[in-house]
Amino acid sequence: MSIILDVQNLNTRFDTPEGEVSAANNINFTLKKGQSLGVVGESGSGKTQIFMAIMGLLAKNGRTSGQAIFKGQNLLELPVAELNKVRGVSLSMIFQDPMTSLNPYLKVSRQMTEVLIEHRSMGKKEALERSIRMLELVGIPEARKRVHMYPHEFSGGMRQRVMIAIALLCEPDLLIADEPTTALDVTIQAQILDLLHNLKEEMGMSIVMITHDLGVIAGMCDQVIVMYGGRVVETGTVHEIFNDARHPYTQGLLQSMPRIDGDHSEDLYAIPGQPPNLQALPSGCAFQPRCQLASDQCRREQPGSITFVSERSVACHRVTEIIELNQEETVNREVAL
Amino acid sequence: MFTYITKRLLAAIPTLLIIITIAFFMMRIAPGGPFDAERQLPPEIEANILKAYDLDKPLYQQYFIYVGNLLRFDFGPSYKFRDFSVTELILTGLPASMQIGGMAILIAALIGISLGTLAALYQNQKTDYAIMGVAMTGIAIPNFVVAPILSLIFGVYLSWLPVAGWGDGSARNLVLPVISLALPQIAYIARLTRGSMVEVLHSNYIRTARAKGLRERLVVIRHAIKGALLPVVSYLGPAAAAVTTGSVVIESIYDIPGVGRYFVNAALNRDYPLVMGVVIFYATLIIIMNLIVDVIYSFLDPKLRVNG
Amino acid sequence: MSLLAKPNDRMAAVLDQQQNVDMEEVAGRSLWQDARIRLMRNKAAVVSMVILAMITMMAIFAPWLSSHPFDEVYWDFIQVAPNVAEGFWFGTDENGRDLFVRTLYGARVSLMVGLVATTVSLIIGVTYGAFAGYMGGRVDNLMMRFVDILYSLPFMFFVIILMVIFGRHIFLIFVALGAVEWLTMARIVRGQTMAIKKKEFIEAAHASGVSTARIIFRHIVPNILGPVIVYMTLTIPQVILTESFLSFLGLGVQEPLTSWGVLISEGAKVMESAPWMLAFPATFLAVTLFCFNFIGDGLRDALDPKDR
Repeated sequence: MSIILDVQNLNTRFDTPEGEVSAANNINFTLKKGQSLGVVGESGSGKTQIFMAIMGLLAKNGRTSGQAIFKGQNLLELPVAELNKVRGVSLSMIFQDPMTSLNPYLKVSRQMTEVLIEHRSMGKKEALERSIRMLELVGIPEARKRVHMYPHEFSGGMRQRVMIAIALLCEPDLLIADEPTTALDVTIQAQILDLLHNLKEEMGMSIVMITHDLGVIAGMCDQVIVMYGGRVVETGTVHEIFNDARHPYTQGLLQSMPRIDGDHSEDLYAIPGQPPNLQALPSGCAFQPRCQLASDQCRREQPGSITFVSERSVACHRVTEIIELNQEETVNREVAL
Repeated sequence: MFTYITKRLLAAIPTLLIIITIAFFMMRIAPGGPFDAERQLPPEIEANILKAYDLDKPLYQQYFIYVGNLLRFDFGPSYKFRDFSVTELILTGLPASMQIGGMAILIAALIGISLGTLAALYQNQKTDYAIMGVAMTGIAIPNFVVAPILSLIFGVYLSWLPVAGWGDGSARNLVLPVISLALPQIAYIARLTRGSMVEVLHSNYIRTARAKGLRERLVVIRHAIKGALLPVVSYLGPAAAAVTTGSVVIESIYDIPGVGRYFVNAALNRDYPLVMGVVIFYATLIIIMNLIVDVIYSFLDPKLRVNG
Repeated sequence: MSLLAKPNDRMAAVLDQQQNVDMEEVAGRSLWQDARIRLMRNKAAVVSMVILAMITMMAIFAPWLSSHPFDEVYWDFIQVAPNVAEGFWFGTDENGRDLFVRTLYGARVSLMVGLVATTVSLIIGVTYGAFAGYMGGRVDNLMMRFVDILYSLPFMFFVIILMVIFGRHIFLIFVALGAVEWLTMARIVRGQTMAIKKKEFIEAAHASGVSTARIIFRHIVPNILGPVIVYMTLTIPQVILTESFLSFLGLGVQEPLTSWGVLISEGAKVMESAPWMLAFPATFLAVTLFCFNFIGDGLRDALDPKDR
């Protein structure tokens, strides 16, 4: 399988009146064609900023270094005019808040057809027909009528469907979905995720799913990146992350997920402490103040990333002990069974 | 849309009535009558004059007579310019006032919006600072200072334009008054546009437009301008009021035979009907302007649009 | 496994998005300390405060700063250019009075009008707005409808009529301008009050039987000071400008008292032969307006730092 996105040594920084703040440090990952990648982390972990940087959508005070090779081009160094031939064409993005992400002053038809007119040189009529078909594809009823409405005449879930339709107009190779369901009602969330899953299969595109909810990842993704304090702390396949999490933070995230099959007698686990402030990161490992396994070394030194096999890495000083513990647990579980 | 406009016009009636009432009673409780200068008149003649102008009747009757006449667009006779009715006087001043006022607002809107947009696009860069600096100057230097200085520079020293006067109302006579009148409004509108444009450019839907790979020009012109202009459009009502007020000094300074100059003279001469006529006229103008603004606004903002 | 997003997560997601726009987060400082630090970082605002303080001091100590009284006529020095040797630093006017000391006395009147009229507008506006916002419902509706009607009046004209009728007493100028400027203040205060009255501490005060007036002035007003102060700072130059405008038309303070508007009006008439008579008062007025506007902008940015 060919590699569609190859990110090497990506850094994002913001200039603020209080000094420079690093939002993402030394990010490395690759994504294969047709696969999907989950990026998990709390707010402020830098997960969104990586992809804003790749899309060239960082705030004005943001700067990026490193490489993000998409279909042979380093997006981070492309001039805007060239980038615009990629954005919305072979690389699309949908955002967290569908209520504000559509232009409230323009009809949906305009917001859709302009993409095709710009990138595919279609005539208005042809573009409109294609837009209507796309709306039907994402499950908007009466698309032919509703295409002429304004965003405020749609519900939240419907707006996110419209956003998805816009993103898919040019049949992109990669869709970046930034918390696409966070702002939606629970029942709608499932529908949107199903839709994305089906579209991915149908169109054979890759998806990056940015989320703070491991549940979203489980059903959707092949690979997972876990981020904390602007760094990647663990990568692996979905199976590896869910069954053999090796970073204490990933473990904490898993434990704090409500489980239907789990033991209900205990309270839901919560990782102690606060998410880190990027302007005042603790010394050593960023997770160290909240980590039960933290040692002196953890408080002193930033852990490097340890790669086991390709796409399977952990950044933790205590990883060997954790692996042993995990194995013991597996053995115990098997014995118990 | 038609019902909306009708409704708004009906709602304006009580407002106008309040204005008329306040203006009427304020003028009448004023010490000193309109004919004070002619005290030496014999009592019977004075009584005749008072009678001719209905001034001998009780106040409330005068009020109803006045309001009744207004319904027929009759503002009564001017006390000072005896041969003219107030309506005639206002109509005489109207063309000049409307020309400089209308052009000032038009120019202020065009230049103000362009400058504000430019500043927002170059936010916190040199262009932005330069434009906002100029705008601040426009706000801080009142037009009754700007007007004489402009007339000194372009009229006296450079002799490019007439120092003052209306002449035949040709473009040469219009330039300086229109500029003086428009400058503070250009400044306000530029600041307003910049503020709202900066906010819109940071909004999520502009991020979406960029993510769609649209050219920056399209992002600004198609996606950003509409939202950014809403606060500017709602400012046009107050701007109209400010321009009419400003025209009072500008017309005096440049000696333009407009409504504003009549107003100052009438106020100083206690020419009640003329003063009231002008106030009511201006109030109506501002109310109409506000109505137009609301209609434009509802066209720009689909959420407010009345039934498609 | 569940797709349930907990409320905290949503909150976190929202915060995450905000961080996307500005990565600023300062913990552990109070709003006011924070605002002060931001204000002190704003060079334009700091310089403005210094200049304004200097002008104020000069206005207060005017009699001791010049050897000439403000109303003395020097027959040998009619309309002379600035003359350091004789102590006429700004020259003299067409009556042979020292312009320097007159400009400073003008500053006294202009600054005084600015402060007093703004205070008047503050008292009316805050009381009215807080009451409307606190009462809510029909009372609020009626009160704000009244404000809307007043908004559409051409107020300047009423002030002019008022000045004409009741003479040009300085006290009247305070009241008239204050009465004109309170409308926006009332709107701002009302909006803030509506937002704050739902907070627990207000409900607690209400539940424990504290009187409405006390709740408004003890609990609500102190919590909406930020926007009120910002708007107040921007109202002062507005008022000063309006007073100058009236004075320019000959409707402001009367001789021998003076204000910047009067001086500018006199200067404008003779600007060809005696440019200093326009230049000095106009500069003082413009600089003062500049300073207030910069301070107002600075305060707004300091108290509400979303737009940088």
